[in-house]
Amino acid sequence: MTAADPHSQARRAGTSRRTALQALGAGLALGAAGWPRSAAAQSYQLRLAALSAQRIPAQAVIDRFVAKYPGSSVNMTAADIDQLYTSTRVSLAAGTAAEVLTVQPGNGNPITIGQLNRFIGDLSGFPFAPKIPKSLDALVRFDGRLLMLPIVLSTIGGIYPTKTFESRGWTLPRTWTEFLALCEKIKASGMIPIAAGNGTNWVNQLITYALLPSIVYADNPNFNEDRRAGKVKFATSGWKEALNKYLELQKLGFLSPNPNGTSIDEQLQMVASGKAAMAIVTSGNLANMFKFAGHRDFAIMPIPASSDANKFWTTASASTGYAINAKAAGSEAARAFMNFLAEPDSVNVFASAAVSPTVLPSAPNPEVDRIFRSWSELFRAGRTTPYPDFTWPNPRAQQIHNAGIQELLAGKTTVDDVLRRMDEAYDA
Amino acid sequence: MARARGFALRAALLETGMLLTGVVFAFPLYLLLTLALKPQSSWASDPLGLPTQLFFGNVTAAWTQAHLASAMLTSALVVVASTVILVVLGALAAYWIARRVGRLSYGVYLFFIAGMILPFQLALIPLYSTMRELGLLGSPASLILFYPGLKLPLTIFLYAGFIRSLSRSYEEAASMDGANQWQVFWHVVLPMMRPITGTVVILNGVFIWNDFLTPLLYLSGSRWATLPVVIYTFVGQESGDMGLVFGGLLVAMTPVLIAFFVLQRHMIKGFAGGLKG
Amino acid sequence: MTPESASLGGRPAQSRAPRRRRAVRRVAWWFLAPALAIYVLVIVYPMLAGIWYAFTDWNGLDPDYRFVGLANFRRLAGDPQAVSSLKMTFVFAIAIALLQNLFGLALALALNERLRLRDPLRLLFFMPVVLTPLIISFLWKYIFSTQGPLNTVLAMAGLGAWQLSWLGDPMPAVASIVIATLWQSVGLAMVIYLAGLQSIPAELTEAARLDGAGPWQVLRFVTLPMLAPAMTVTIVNSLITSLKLFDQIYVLTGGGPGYATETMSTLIYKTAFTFAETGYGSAISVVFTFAVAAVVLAALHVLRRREFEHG
Repeated sequence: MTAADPHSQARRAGTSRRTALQALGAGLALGAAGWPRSAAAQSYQLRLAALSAQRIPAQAVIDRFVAKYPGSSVNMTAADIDQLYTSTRVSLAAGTAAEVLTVQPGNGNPITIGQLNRFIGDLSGFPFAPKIPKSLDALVRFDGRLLMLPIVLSTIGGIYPTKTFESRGWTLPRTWTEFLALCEKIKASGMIPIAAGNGTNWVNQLITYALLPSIVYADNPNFNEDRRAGKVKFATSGWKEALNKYLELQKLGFLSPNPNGTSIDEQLQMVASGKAAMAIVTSGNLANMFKFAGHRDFAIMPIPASSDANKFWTTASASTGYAINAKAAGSEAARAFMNFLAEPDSVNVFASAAVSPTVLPSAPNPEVDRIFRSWSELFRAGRTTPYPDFTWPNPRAQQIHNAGIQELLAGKTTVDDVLRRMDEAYDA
Repeated sequence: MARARGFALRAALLETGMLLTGVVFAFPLYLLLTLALKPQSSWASDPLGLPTQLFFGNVTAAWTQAHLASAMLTSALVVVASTVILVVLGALAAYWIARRVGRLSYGVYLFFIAGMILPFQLALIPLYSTMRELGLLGSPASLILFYPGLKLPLTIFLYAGFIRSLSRSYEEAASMDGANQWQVFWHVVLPMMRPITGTVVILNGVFIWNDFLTPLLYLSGSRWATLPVVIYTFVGQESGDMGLVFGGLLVAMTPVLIAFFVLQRHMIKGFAGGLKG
Repeated sequence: MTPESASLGGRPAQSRAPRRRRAVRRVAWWFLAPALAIYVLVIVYPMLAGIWYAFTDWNGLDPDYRFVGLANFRRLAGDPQAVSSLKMTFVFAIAIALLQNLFGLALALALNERLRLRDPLRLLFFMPVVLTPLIISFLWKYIFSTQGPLNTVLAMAGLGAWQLSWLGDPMPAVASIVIATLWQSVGLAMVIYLAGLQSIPAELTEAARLDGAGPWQVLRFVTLPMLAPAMTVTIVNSLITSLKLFDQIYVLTGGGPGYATETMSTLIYKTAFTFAETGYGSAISVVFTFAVAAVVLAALHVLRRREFEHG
């Protein structure tokens, strides 16, 4: 007999208290069943393993996530990529990895989706999956599964202070000869032309990668497939010319002294303090450069390596993105965060904090346009290629390249020897 | 007379020379202290001088940002638990080895000693795999199982040597009074081993507190971290801010420094005497 | 098992000759069992498993792998990085062991003279031994950096030409690692030698002096021979510890530049955990284990013989 039954109310005498209690109980039960739950009452706990260079952008997104879902906490740890190479794999194998991880496309280093594919979840069912340009399929998919969410594009070029170049009348080069001439002018003015940070392991490959597009990919955009098929080898390709040009920069005295003893932080600080004119690094380092210099008047210049201005190519890659730990693929928190990350507002926040062009659609950003102007020209003309190592079958060849550059700079080996060992590792 | 003056001169030279050596030797510690207590902006202008005013910003920021408190607690937990296990199991096994005469016990002794000489790297990967299968990775339990295994050889070496030098008469008297083996061990032998137990605790405790690679592997990515691991992650993250880094280094050094100053005699005796066995 | 004895009053048996019966008194097996169990589980079994994996191509994760015989070892022989790291392992171990003992002995001899500063100096030199190597390595990394305190001090002292890229050039990098390691280990050798020196009966040195021996001769013919046991202990201990050196190399140079400072420890770690080539890593470990065993046993043999000759 419920309280709503008029007959029970008629029998109030002696049973009024009991019926009142019954009414209360029934009311509560009804209320609990039908009470609408507000979406904002959800709160999520998750961990994020981020790359140091993306700490500031990631934090910007985390702050907005926590604002949208109060009570949530996103525990972010940041590490340099060399550390991530080991810690990501070890923690995934141990089952202790964060729910959301930083990964890279392809298969050519320890944190690529190819190398980690057994540990990360398929994102094809997520709402943002259709928004990722099909042209990036080769980068973000492995075995047909969508394994990473790319947010920003990155390139490798010389980050330089625009005001200094303007006041000295230095113009951006379009051929190798012009580039050498520019360095000569910089050197004559008393500044170090190129700050080098080869003490940090992953920095070694960057100048090679900056030069390769003009030398190798301008002539043969299918170089990666050819190498895969064995039709061509590193030792007999434009790689040799690229490495020799790298060393030429050192011979001509354009690199800062003691490159092997300089870390990337010191390298960036040399440019920030005005001692050096440029640092050839990934565009992801712009945020740190701003922090060290205390101002944002920088731009990034692609590095030409050919004598023909029409063969001036550069890199354009979805470099680091985010993946979901396979163990956490069903976790509400991880899914919520990934979806939030892919929303246009988040992409804007991330990209402007990271000062990068984006992969996913986003709002126009005049600062990014200014900084990447020279790169955009090449990008729009289709004269770009992804980072060379993303199709490599194992991470060994990259490691031999990095260590090999250090040895070359120290005069301990030859270009032929390094390329031969890279070929051996690639083909193993 | 000339000889006496020669001695005095030599002594003075030696004293001065040793003082200079001490100053040079102390330089890294001097740097750690002064740089951590100066704001980083002043490092470039005055790299080697004493701080004009003690600046605690670096250490307080590092203390909160690096979660050093929980790391220290984790380290302490692992050290205490592992050391207790080592003392009990090591002493028991060493008693067996030392008091049981025969080729078997000597063979077992050598079996353990081999573990002191052979490098652990060969076992590194298979043990990691075992820990994973046991589901222990990501928890301090993995370390509390690992360190006793690793340090039992040294512990048994120390205890066995000591027990062998003990006269058996006390044990015999006790067993004649009706004590069983366990009671003889617990009430007679163990108390007599206090000096060597001190050495065991100090040598193992210092090693475990300072160990880096194994906690890095076993706790990577989890909510647990020992002090060296936390410092490693912290420095990797904040490498652009050396002031903060030095603050962290100084705070992380403090527990060991305090322990050293409090226990200096025991530490020196433990290390010097312990290795001789 | 209570030995039958007439002294029921509990008088200690030390007044009697020990009976053979007591000498073979058994100790229960369960005294040994727990320690043995953990030791086998954590050390012995994994080491044997490691030897097995050296003959496979296991990547540490997949349940299936193939037996590949000696392929890993052949690869090792032809791998310049692996061969170089084997060499560097010994270079570091021998350099550190020798220098640690040389300087440790010198410091002990100096401190053994009744100096006024003896106690504070002893504390100072020993303190780094207990500090965390990982943390101290970050301190040294800063000291050795190109714009860091070491180069600054050298410039201020007018020794500008001695400024080097301490961590960027191969030879200075090796020296830097040796210096950083020595700083934390010389104190240990010192206190062991100090204890040894203090146990030398004064009459011996006095007698030698009365016979007309000068200080060097006293050192050579009395002190050093008496220190032979201490020498064995410290040298063997140094060798064992520095053969396994990891933290300092990992932090200061990561094995670089190139692989100029790569040792077996760092190489095994990278191979197994960064590149997931655990089969190959195990093969390297097997070679490493044999090398360490050979060096340590050889050193023990030489030093023990010296002890007996002089003891």
